[in-house]
Formats: sequence, C-alpha cells, structure tokens
Amino acid sequence: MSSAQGKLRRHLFRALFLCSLTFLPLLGAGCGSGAASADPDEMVMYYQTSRIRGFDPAKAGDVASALSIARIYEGLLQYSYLERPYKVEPLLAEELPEVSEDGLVYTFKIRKGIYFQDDPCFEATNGKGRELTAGDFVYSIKRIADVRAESTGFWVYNKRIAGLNEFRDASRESKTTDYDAPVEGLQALDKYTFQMKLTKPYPQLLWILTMHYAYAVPREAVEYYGKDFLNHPVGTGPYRLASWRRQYRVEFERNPKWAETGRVELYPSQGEPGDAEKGLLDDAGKPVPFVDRIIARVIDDTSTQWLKFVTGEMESSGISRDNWNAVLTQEKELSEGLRKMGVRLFSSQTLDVYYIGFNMDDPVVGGNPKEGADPERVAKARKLRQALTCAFNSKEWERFYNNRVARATGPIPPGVAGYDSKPSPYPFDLDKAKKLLAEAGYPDGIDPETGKTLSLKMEVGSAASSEFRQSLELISAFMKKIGVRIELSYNNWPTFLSKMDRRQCQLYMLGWVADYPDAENFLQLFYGPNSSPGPNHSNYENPAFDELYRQIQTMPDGEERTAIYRKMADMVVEDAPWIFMHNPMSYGLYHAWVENYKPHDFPYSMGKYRKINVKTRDEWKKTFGRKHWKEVNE
Amino acid sequence: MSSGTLKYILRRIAYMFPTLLGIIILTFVLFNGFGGDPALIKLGKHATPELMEEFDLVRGYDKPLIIGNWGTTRAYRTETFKEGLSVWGSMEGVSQKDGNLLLDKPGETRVPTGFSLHPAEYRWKIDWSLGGDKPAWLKVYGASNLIAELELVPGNSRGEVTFEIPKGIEPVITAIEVPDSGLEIRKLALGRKNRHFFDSQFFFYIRQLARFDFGVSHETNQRVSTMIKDGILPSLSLTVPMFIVGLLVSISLALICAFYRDTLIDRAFVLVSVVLMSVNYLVWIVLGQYILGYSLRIFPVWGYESARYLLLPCIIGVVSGLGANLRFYRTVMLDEMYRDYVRTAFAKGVSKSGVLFKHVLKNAMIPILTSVVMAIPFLYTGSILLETFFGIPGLGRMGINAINSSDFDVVKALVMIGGVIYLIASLLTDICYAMVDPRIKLK
Repeated sequence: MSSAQGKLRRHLFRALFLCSLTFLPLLGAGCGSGAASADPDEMVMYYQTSRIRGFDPAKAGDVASALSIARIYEGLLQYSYLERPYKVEPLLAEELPEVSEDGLVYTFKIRKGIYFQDDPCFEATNGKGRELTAGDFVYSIKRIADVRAESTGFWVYNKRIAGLNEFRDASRESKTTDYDAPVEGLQALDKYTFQMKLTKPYPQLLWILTMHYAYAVPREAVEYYGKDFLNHPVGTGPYRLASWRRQYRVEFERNPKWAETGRVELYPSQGEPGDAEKGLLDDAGKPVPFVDRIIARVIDDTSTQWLKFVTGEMESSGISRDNWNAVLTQEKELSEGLRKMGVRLFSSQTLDVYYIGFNMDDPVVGGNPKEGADPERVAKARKLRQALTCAFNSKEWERFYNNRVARATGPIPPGVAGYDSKPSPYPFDLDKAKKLLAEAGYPDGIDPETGKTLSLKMEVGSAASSEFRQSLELISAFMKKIGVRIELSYNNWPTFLSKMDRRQCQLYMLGWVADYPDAENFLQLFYGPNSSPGPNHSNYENPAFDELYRQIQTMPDGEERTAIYRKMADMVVEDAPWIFMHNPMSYGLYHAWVENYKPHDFPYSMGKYRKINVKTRDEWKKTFGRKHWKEVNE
Repeated sequence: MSSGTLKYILRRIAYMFPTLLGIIILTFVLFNGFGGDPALIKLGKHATPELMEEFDLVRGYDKPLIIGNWGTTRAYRTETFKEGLSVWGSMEGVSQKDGNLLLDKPGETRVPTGFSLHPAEYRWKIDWSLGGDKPAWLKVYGASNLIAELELVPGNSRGEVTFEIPKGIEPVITAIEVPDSGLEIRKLALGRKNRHFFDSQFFFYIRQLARFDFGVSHETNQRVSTMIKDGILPSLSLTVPMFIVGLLVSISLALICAFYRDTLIDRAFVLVSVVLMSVNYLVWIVLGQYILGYSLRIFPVWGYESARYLLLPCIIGVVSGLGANLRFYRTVMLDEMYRDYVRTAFAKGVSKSGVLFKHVLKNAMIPILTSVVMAIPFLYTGSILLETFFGIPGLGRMGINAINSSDFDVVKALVMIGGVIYLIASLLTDICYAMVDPRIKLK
C-alpha cells in the first residue's frame, strides 16, 4: 500500500470519527437547557400542543398559537370561565364598557397598576416593565390594521372603526407606517380611558375584544425586536415565555411581575348549576394562577401522544379513532382500566359545523331565489338539494364517527342563541328523498333529457387520512341509495381553496369553526355580498335573507334578534344550499390530578384557573407509572 | 495537488453555476407558478379580495411572474371563461356559451370587481365577438365620472384601455354597455401597472437568494433561514451517527461475509439481510417505541433532551438500513474477490485477512465512496419518519409539515439547499476518486 493512500484512509477515518465526536457534546448542550426547575413544590403542568406559529397576537390564527399567546398577553375582556351561556367579563378593563345610546361609542376604564413584564425593550426604564395605559390599546389595534404588519385579523375591525380603514390605506401607500397618525375611532382620552368609535353598531364587538387581535402589545417591544418580535413576547399576563424550541417544546413560567406589583386575579365564584358539586368552585376567590410552570410538547403522532398520556407524562389527551374502542366502552364510558387509573372523560359539543355545500351558481344543483330567476328552475333545483339532504343517512354517519358527532339540523349550532331544537324538516328519509328527487325532475335519479344517471361532482381538499376517505365513500353510498352518483374529486388544500374561490365546485365539503358564540358568525356564510371569493362559498343569494342579515348586523342582543336568527336559519334550511352534516363532539381525557377543568369553546386566558395536584400525580406515578395501561384491571 | 487537478476543480465549480440556475428556475416555476394561492392559504376562512390584495402587495405576489409591465390585482382575477363563469356566476343577463362569456341584457352591465380599485395605473384587456352593427363600450367610472372608455367595434376583435385612478375618487366602477345584439367575451383581464419591466416575482426571489434570505414561512411566520438553522443540528445529530455506525457495521459485516464467502456464516448474513430488507421501516419504529420504549422502559419513547433520546431512533435507523447496505457492500467486496490481483496475492502466499484488508477493501473504495458521498445530501434532509415519531425537531419533520401545509417558501429553500449540497457532494466524489485510485486523473 502506498503511503499516500494509507494517509488518506487514516484521514478519512479520523474525519468520520471527529464528526461523530463533534455532534455528541452538541447534543448534550442543545438539549439540557429545557429541564424543569429543581424545586419539588413547584406545580408543573404538561400538555401536548400543535405547532406554535410565533407569539405575535396580530398574526396567529390557529388554536394552539392563540392559547399560548393568551398565557402571556391579555385583552380588555375575557370569557367567563364557568358560566354558560358564555358571557364576557372585564379583564384589563375595570368593568364592562359604557356604551353610548346609539351604540357607536364604547368607553373603557382601564385598570390601574397593571404592568408589562420586565424586558430589555423597555429602554427608558432600564428593562423594568412599565404600566399599561390606554395608549397601548390604541397602538395594538392600529397594528392589526397596518398592512405592513401582515396581520391575519383585520377582518374583525374592517369598516367598523371610524378612521381605521383610512389608517390602513395610508399604511398601504407608504413603506413605513406612521403610528402617530390619529385614528378618530381609537382614542386614549386619558391615561386610563380608552374610547372606541364605530362607524355602525357592532353588537359582536365585545366578543371580538376577547380575541388576541385585541390584546395589549407594548410598542417598545415591537420596535425593539422588529421582525423577531414574534419570538419575544412581552405581555401583562399570568405567564411569561421561559424557553421555546420551535417544533418541539415550549415552556411558560409564572410572570414574577404580578407578585412584584401586587396584582391579584381571583378564581371565579359564579358558575353554572352543578359546578359546585363537581368541585369547580372549591377554589372560588383564591388568587390565580395556580400552576407555576407549563410545559407543552409538539407531538405529531397520535400513538406517541397516547403513550405519553398513559405514562402520566401528559395531563390530558384526545382520543384517536384507532384507540376509540380500547378507551371507551359501547356506552361511551371510560374503560375499566382507565377508570381505575383515575382518568376522567370530558365530552362536550363544539360550536363547529361540517357540511357539504352546493354551488348555487351551478346550472344543475344551483339557482338562487332572486328576482329575474326562472321560478320553476329555482324550485326544481331546490327540490334536488332537499332530496340529497334527505338522503344523507345521519344515523349511519354518526355510527361511522363512533358517535363523536351529532347531526346538525341547521346553520346555528346548539349552545348559540338562535339554535332551534325542533327536528329538521328534511331529516334522513329515503322515501321523501326519492319523492323530492322525482319532483326535481330526476325520477330514480335518471336525467330524462339524457337518460343517464344524475352524476354530481364533489370537490374535497386533502385526502390524507383514511378515515376521511372512508367517510367520503360513505356519502357516495348514501346518495347511491336514491340513484344519484357522486363523483369524488380529490385536491390538495391550495387547489381546493382556489376552486372554491373561482366558483368551480359543484359540491364541496367544508367545516366552519366559530369565531365567537353568536349566530351572526354562521349566518354571514349565506350573505349574498360575501359570495366567493368571500366566505359564502356556496354563493347563496337570497334577497329576503340578505335584507334580514343587514338588519341583524347592527341589532343588539335580545329576543327580537334571536327570533330573526331563527327565521334566517329556517330560510337556509328550506333553500338547502348546504347539507348540514354534523356538529362534532369534543372528547378529552384528563388525569385525576388536573383540577378545575371545565370544557370551554374559547379556552383562551383560561389556563390560569387550572390546577395540578402534585401529590396525587406523584402517588399515581408510583402506582401506575410503570404498569401497562391495558393491564390495570387485571 | 497538481495544477491540472486545481484547474479541473475550478472548472467543475464553474459548471455548477448553470446547474444552480436551473435548480433556481425549476423550484421557482414549480412553486410560484403552480403552487396555489398563498394569500388564500394564509388568510384562510376570512379571506376577502381586498385582504388578499394587501397580502399580495406586502409579499410581492401581485408582480408579474418572470417579467412584464403589468401585474395582477385581486379586484378582478378571472381572465377566460372556459372553467366557468367565476365571479360572473350569480349575475343576471350573463351566461356561458362555448367557453365564452355571453352578455345578452342590453344596457350597462357592471363588471363584478371585488372592491373599488386602489389609486394606481390599470389596464383592461378584452377579446370580444359582437354581432349587429352597433358597438359596445367598456367604460370606467370614478365617483360617477367617466374616466376611460373603449369602443368594442362589431366583429371579432381585441383591444385594451389604460387609465389612472387618482386618489380620492370612489367608487371606481367598470361597466360594459351591451347593444341589443348581445356581446360575447372570450377574455377579460385587468392588470395593474408594474414599477418597471424587471420588477417581478422571479427577480425578487433572485435578489432574496443573493442575500441568503429564503423569505418568511407563512405557516410558522418565522424566517425560513431561522427555521433551517433551528432544524439542521437535530437532523444531523440523528443522521450522522446513524450513517457512520451504519457504514462501519455494514462494511465490517460485508468483509466478514466476503471472508467466509459461501459458508454458513455468509449464507446466514445474506438471509438476515433479506429479512431486514423486507420489514417496513414503520414496523421497526412502532415496535421499538412500544416494546423498548413503553413496555420495557429501556429508552425514552419520545423527545429530544439528551443523547440518550437519540439512541433508539439511531438503532432503528441502523437496523432498518442494514439489510440493503450489507448486501450492497458484500457484492462490492465479492466483485473484487474474483479479480486477478486477488488470485495473485493468494498465490504469493498473502494471508486471507491480508488480502481482504490490504487489497480488497482498498480497491472496493470507489463504489463505497460513491455511495457514501451521495448519501451526504440526504443526511441534511434528516429522516422524516424517525423525526416525526420521536419528536426530533429536525429538517425532515419541518419539510414534511411544510409540504402538508403548502408552505412553499420553506420547501423551496429545502430543495434549493439540497441541490447545492448535492452538487458539492458530487464534486467531492470525483476528487476522492482521484485520491483513492491513481488510475483516475482529473483533467
């Protein structure tokens, strides 16, 4: 062997060896920092989260990010934790706002002695967090309107606040936004008084002000951190960010500013009937937050999530479809073993609606009841849609989802004012479906003009999960029963969105997740001017409905409005631009040591009320921590 | 290093630039041209044309794709009517005819724009067919005053009209005056004046790349460069040990196989490697996690806290790759075993191990190097499955999430960097060839 080659070989091996050596210490250094503090009395909570898209309240649009942001930032108002139906209550405001008689001017008194957490961005005070003022809300809402800030939340204020759209236009025209430009509708009357002036009454405003698009953000932080602001949250909330390894783990710790400035928030003492029996009022009047440290991990795979839960490393878990039969009995109760482990099951109906939409522009299934439209054609197409609604076998559908869903009967979900518990006029009924189909001009599903079976094309976004694909086949089978063929067209999500955007779908499948518990949020999906590319993807346009919608847009909450909501919902059910499929149920499993948990549709800012019984957890880990969860009952 | 070698390397580096440009153009066209609508994806359920217009403006998606004087506006996006009538759909006196738009209601029909045009210079472009002898008109009004008009003469024709919207005239309305004979429109497009001819998405992308800026992920709101920095170490900390251990183990076993060629040991290894190759990767992961992680509690099930957490994924990675590697290296070794020089060496009385380590291993270096160096680009992309199942925050997991959520800036950057690493790796392979095999000369 020549010496040169021998050298090379030695070099190669040394290089490889060095490589492996280099990486090992890096590993230790990179990962060691995340360990929880050594204090044994510290109350730590662990949970599983989806990816967090940064801590900028202007940008997050998903649940996981909003939950995380709400631990650090706060708004003027928040949802009540225990009371139902949902109510808003003051958080950073001293009380609910004073509203002028015409419903256009909202005046908030802001609590004194609320401080932002310490952060180097507060250069004027040497890094000490300063007091919250009315100006912070003026700034924060302007920031949502700033085109350059790329907020996803401008829709909540769009054309609602006097002068804000002009501010937005100005931010579009220039490269840098002038935040000192006054906006008529957003004013700090004095240090602790914040006033909003609206362009028209906006009865949903109070719900809006609980959202993260209304949280107080200090201008110093935005300017100090610039593009990196989303990684450096600076808020007034109960927690602050301790560490964040994106895509992997996030850790929050108690915000020491609360103790330092003597800020006290109390656990609610008002609840729903029954809350006291469940122990939800045991901590009434005690200062929150209870938990000192919150650690969340990003776990993608459901079987790993489950293993983490049954070893007690996570406080809560969902139930995946694969695991359903092992976890719950036929009666939808917890399996014996899990019950012995002290696991508790919480189920609640969500405010989401899933549906199959018809494109009302389509020559076959569509036909808006507008002036000038051929009334016979409109009526026939409506009968066709009603027939398909009646063919939708809701019993079978619920069974397919292991009863994790409940049939939706209209656009407004249960729990929201305007929901009607009366049975749908178009329930699952094959005879009725066949009759309606014949009246629509397709006896036995045959189109008399062509002599062929009526075939409709349904567009769906993403066919990633097998469960989803099976559900689609089930729908095809339902429609086949009345002789209608459903042709499935699979798209990836972006293509699906642009097809809806361009009105190229005949049928499409989609869901709507409520932004706030007000029927208006659902009914806007049927308002003519909101047609695609707006959120009314069915392009439903009914002048009578639109007229009512314009009325309720500015109408305050009350019996009268609820009556109109019902009327509008009935119109939609009758015209059937959607097949209402279901409102999903949400199921959560919680370990015995999680206290004060109550399901909430808008759980933002609610983390501070949770409590962990560390003693119970330690004992549990001794008893069950090393046992296999399926073997506990033996 | 001889000057010939140096020249060769320089030339190879020069060749890399056109290839690189090809990669850039390909990723750009694939994702910007066909990647779907970022504004729709980002704004989600609350998207409206006006909000999308502003999103496009900030991110530069309203500019022409490659070059051009006219960009797009969300006020009006439909161009042809072959796929349906789009925003015209629910209007009266409007229908589709042979893939064209037919307006048959005499009088003015309003063009359904998503919002009143913002101040700028615009252009309407129209292709039409008109029967009869009366012309039709395309008219633009600002605050009820006529700003621009275009006469649509009878017959088949096309034309365009440019106009400027000054500040403060609202609403801006475009209407088409239809004569009794009706009007057929083949194409109708609205463009907004671009700053200059080269102010395009493509040159924007090139300028970004020149600054090593890969843009901002619309899914995570993070800068893509930050995300890659975050993910590269976790990926490498898994793939590099896995790669090295896998390589050492499979080469050693291959040597053993070659040494004991055609004996029971060799056969047993071949059998084992075939079995290993037939078991799905996922099976190893699930079994490993469930049995070694959960039931026996030997390894942590999930996480990225210390080197201990990487042991199980590493073992799984090595075991699942072993079958194929072992067979490959065994073949490489055996190929050499039948060469003349091996027979000569044996004839000279060199011991079996001497032949194997001094001669065969050295001569088998070329195929080994090829497979080793070509594996390097894949080290950087990480192992998607292992990262996902074991919660390792690496580039593989990041990439798969980016693909699932159509986060094209991230995918583009990953493809781009992968391509560059591949180019460098292939250059390194050639250089290594010359270094291990004196018969190869770089020219």
